[in-house]
Formats: sequence, C-alpha cells, structure tokens
Amino acid sequence: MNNFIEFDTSSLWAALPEIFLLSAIVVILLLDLFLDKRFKQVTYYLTQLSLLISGLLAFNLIGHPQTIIFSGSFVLDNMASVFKVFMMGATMVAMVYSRHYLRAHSLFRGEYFVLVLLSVLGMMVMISGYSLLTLYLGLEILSLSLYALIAIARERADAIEAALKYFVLGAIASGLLLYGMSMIYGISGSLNISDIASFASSANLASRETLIINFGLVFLVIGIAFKLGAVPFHMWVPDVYQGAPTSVTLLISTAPKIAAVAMLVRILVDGLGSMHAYWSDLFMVLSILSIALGSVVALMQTNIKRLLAYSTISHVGFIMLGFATGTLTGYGAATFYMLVYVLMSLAAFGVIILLNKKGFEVDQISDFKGLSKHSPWFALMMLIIMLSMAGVPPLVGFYSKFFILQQVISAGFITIAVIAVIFAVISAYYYLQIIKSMYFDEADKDITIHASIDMRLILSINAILILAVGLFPDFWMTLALSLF
Amino acid sequence: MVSLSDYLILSSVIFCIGLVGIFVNRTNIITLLMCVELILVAVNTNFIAFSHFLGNETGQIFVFFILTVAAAEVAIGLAILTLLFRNRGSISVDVTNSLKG
Amino acid sequence: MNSEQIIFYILSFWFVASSLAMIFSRNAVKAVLFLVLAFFSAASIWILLEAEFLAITLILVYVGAVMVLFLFVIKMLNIDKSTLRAKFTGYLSLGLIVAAIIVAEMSLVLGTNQFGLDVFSSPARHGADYSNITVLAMQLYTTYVYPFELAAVLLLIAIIAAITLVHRNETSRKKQSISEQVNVQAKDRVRLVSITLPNKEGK
Repeated sequence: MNNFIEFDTSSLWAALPEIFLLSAIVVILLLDLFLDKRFKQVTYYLTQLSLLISGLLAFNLIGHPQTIIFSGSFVLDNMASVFKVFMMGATMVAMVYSRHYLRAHSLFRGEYFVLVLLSVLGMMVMISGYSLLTLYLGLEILSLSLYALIAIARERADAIEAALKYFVLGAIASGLLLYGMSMIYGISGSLNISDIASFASSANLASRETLIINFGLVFLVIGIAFKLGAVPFHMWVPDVYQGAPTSVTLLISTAPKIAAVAMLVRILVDGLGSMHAYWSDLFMVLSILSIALGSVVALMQTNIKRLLAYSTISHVGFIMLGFATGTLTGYGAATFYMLVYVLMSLAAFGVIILLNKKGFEVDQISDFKGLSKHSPWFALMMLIIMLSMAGVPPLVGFYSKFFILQQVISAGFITIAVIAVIFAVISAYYYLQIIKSMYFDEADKDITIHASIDMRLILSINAILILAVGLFPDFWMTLALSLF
Repeated sequence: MVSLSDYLILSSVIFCIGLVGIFVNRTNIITLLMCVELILVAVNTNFIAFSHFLGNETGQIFVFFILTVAAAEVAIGLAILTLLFRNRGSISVDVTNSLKG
Repeated sequence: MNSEQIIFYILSFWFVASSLAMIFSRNAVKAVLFLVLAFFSAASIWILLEAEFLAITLILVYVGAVMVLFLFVIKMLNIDKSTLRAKFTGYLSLGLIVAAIIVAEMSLVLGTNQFGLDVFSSPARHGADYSNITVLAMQLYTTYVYPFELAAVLLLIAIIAAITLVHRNETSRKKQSISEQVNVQAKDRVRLVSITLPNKEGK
C-alpha cells in the first residue's frame, strides 16, 4: 500500500489564494487578541489587506489551465478565479461600508472581521469545490460564520431571533442537500464531480439509474433553492434581512450569492449537466414563483431591508430562470445577472448604511424622506440604484434582465418570458416609491450624513459603475459568457 | 439477507420523522435542533449503507465529516439559543412566521 | 428469516419507535433521552454495516458530548414547563398523513426494484484481521487531506463563534492584580476618621 498518493508541492500553487487567506486569518485572530482597544482599527486594515492580496493572487490565476488537485476535490479554472476576484472585491467594498455601521452601533470587534474572513474562505472553497464533500464543507464554513455574524449584536433580540431562524432553516436545507448527495453517491459510487459527470452522461444508463439520479436531484434542487432563497423555500430571507445588523445583511445579500451560484454550477451544470432536461423544469417553476412573490409581496413593505429582501427573491428568480434555459448562453446570462445583482445590492445597502449614525438605525422607507434636499448627490446615487434594480434602460439592471429574457425566448419559453416581464413592471412600483420618498416628501427628522470620505468615495464609484457598466455592457457580458 | 433497499427505506422513514418533527415542533427550538440531528443520522445511515454495498469507503469518510460539522453546528446553535434566552427569558420562537406584512 | 434480519428488524423498530417518541415528547429531557436511544440503535445498525469506527464515534461524540451539551443547556436555561408544553402547532394529523404518503413514495423509489439483493448483492463479510479504522485513516490523511483541513477550520469557527457569542465581558469576572496587591500601602486601605463620641446622656 504505497501507491496511494502522489503529492507534488508545486500543485499547491493552484490553491494559493486559499492558503494565504487561511494563514492571514490565523495571524489576524492572534494579533487581535493582544491588540489594545485603541488600535482596533489595525484589525480592519489587516482584513482589507489580506482580502486584497488574496484577491490579487486569485486574479493572477485567471487564464490558468484547468487544474484539479487534492485527489479531485479542488478545481482551478477560469470560472473559479473570476468568481473569487468578484467575491473578494464585493467583500472589500462591503467591509468599507460595514466599518461605518459598526462604529455607529458600537459593534466594532475584532472577531467580526475574523468571522467575515472565515466566511470568505468558505465561499472560496465552495467556488473551487469539485467534489460533493468539499462543496458541503465550504457551504458549512460559510453558513456557520454567517450565523455567528448575525448573532454578534448580542443585545438585540431581533438579531438573535434572525440568527436562530437562519440557523434552523439552514440546517434543514443542509439535511435535504445531504440526502440528495447521498443518493447521487449511492448510484454513481463517487463524490467527485468529474466522475459523477461521466457517469450521468454515459449512454447506457439504465432506467433504474436515471430514476435514482432524478430522485437525488429533487433534494439537491430543494437544498440549493433554500440556500439561494427561492420561493417556496424563501421563509428565512425577509426575517434574516430585517433582523440582522445591516452590515451583515449587506454581506449576506452579496458575496454568498456568488458562492451559491458557483455551487449550483458545480453540481447541476458541471456534474449533472446531462440531466438538465429534468432539473430545468423544476427551476422554471421555482423561478416564476420567486419572481411573482418577490414582486408582489414587496409592494406591501414599509421596512426597506425587508423590501430589499423580497427584491432579492425576485432577482434570484431571474438568475434561476437563466439556468433553467439549459443553454450555455443562458448560463452566461445568469452569471452576468448575478454579478450585476451583487453590484446593485452592495450599493443599495451602502446607501442605507450611509444614513446610519450613532444611535440611529435606518430601516424604514420613511427614513429616506427629503434626502434630495440634504444630500442631492447621494439621492441621485440612490435614484440610479433603484432605477437599475427596476430595470430601466440604459442602466445595467436593464441589460441583465434583457439578456436573461432574450435567452428564455430563444429557448422557446415565450409565456414564461411574458410573465416575468409583467412582474418586473409591477416591481418597478416599489422602487419608485423610494424615489418618491426621497424627492417629493419633506424630511421629518435630521438626516445629515456623518460618513468618512472613503465610504462616500467608494459608494459613489459603486453607483456610477452601475451606470457605466450599463453603457458598456459588452465586456462584462463577454466575460460572463467565456466562463461556460 | 438484509438488502440495501431495507436500509434505505429505514433511513427514509427516519428522515421523514425528522421532517414531521420540525413541522409539529415549530416553536420549540430544542426539539427542533434534535430533529435536525435525526435528519443527519438518517443521511449518515444512507451513506454508510451505500458505502457497505458499493464496497468503497468514501461514504464512511463523508459521514466522518458530517459528524464533525454537526458537532460544530450544535455548539453554535446552542450558543445562539443561550443568547436568545438571556435577551428574552424564553426560547420559544416560531421559525416559520414569515408573512407578517 | 435469518439472524441478521431478525437483529436488523429489532434495531429498526427501536430506531423508529424512539425517534417517534422523541418528536412527540413534551419534556425536553425525555426527548433527549429518546434521541440517545435512537442514536444507540443507529450505531448498532452501522455495526451491522461494518462501520465500526463511525458507530463508536456516534456513541462517544454524539451521545457522550453533543447530547450531554443539550442536557446541559436545558438544565442551565431552566426552561419552564409551559414553553415546553406549548401545543403542537396545528396540522398534526395533516402532517402525519403527508409524511406517510412521502414515505410510501420514497419506499417505491428505494424499493427492491432499484436496490434489491439482485441489483446490489450483499458483499462478503470482512475477516477478523480487517481493521475499519486503519482503512479510514489511510484515506483520511491522504486522499481526503484537503477536507480534513477544512474540518479543522470548521472547528475553529465553532470555537470563535461560541466564545464571541456567549462570553461576557471581563468586568463581570473577579481578577487578581498582583502588582496592585504588592504595592498597596496602609493608607490606601485604612482610613482613620476622627469622630466625637456622643456622651452617655445622648447630648
């Protein structure tokens, strides 16, 4: 028994971003322990620095030929590198915004940043996971850090309650996902995505084997839909978005969506792509339900975090619609939509956080009243973000919806496309409500902005990017398409 | 001889009992957490049965990791539960009431 | 029926019965104990499947640590009976009917047509020299070294999270400060106050 492993240290280069980040986490964790209270900012800057370096390492690996290491459980390909770079970027921006919030609500603690870095590590593992085992472990690393991050506001009962709900429903989702994984393992005899793919696409699949794969597939789709927050598995989304501290809501609504889409691609496209005729029907139903419910229920919300939660559900519907087409361009369009959604969601929560100040928690739409008088610039930014989310041309939110619908129509689902458009129009109403509140209502409380210059700058760039990418979407679209 | 299908049906029964338990104990968090454990044991039984009948150990390795994850998960879950109790003096939360307007 | 089947059905019965008792028990401590019984049955079934290491781990880690943690929290929080006695939230019979239908459907999929002995024949039992733990260890530290490291990260998260969430600030703890104790002087600890004693008549 001496031929069981061939280990070559040079192959570890492919996992360099992960290895660096884990080392950085350990250093920051230990350093933070001995830092005096006055120097807690150091933890923040080190966090940003390690995210930056790790992101650059991932960027450096773009264009690397596909490499599979660790006995088939880790893959490095273009999709992994591009997703990691975007995920790191989103987290860095989220951290800039979070710092303002954490200071305003005295939640600024070293563990917060360590847990964020650990969740980033979990997302990287998911993005690069090439066996069911590593995908599951990455998902759990991400989820456990997020549960703890939500509950880190220890004195706020609503945050604790949100953490508990997220925890219980997340654990149930993991259970369903695992049941599906056990079926796929049982029939294919392997956990590696490449083995599963070659098993599922083999021509002489017995009807018995197809039946079991489909049986497992149902559980996998339910588990993934749970994690993405698609209807009817969306119960946790509004409560968690509303209850969690806004900086954590910001994190949950952005980077983990990239990781969840990566997991979806690894399992359903890379692994069971040959079975897409079976899972795309499920996806079609889930996505239409999500778009419909997300658009309609959001109309009744007065809490802006809850409103954005329902808006997320409807965006997730569009992303799943892209995957439901079962074509490579459809997958590309869904990926593009996902990246655009992350950009818009970052900016939207950024504006909410911007208005926070000591002892004042912004979470109602009415808190935006009269923003155009006090800060015309940021009211304009919010206008851009909301119009983009509503899908108004020439903003990027329009193009992302347009590409998805184009693929849906060319795949022959014209009715579905029409339904999606109708609900997208309905959803425009509640985005306009926020705009109305900013521009046409009088302020009833003091809404001056106390934010540092870096936050203002990054937020402005973020919002202007929405406009800029909307004017020149070709590069990003080509990038998203090149990943499949 | 006991066939693979016997083991799988047994674990599917346990899996469903876990789901029903979640359904009927929605406000009792401690029991909810235990139902999640039940679901995981059902999944583990699945993996071990497959591993035995396929003759490869991969399934057992997966179970090893599921046990690790579940232990970590319980530690965090009970920590959150303790926080909730400190804040509210009770641990009853309906985890499925999402439609409050 | 051979002996293996008899053992399997007895264990399955206990597994299912104790799981059912667990979800319907209104006393948290009893529920935990029923779950322990369910875990013992599960571990025994795993031994039938020749997964000795995992079976023992289930007992040692689950029953020995996780379930004791549950009991500890139940007792520490002193959960009052009324919350536990909270009514089962409606739809009990509906839930049971739906579950029965789901089980029936799952049994059709998982039945002997797909997983019977003619499809998956029962493998030959290993001999006395077979060591389950050696086989697992060989795999775990070679092929699965990457997941193994990830599991380490998970445990680190659990530690950080549990401490961050539940640990109270230092102000609530009593600490010794040696340097202060050594440097202390009489005038810091004893304050001499001059008072005039009232005379006996109280004037």
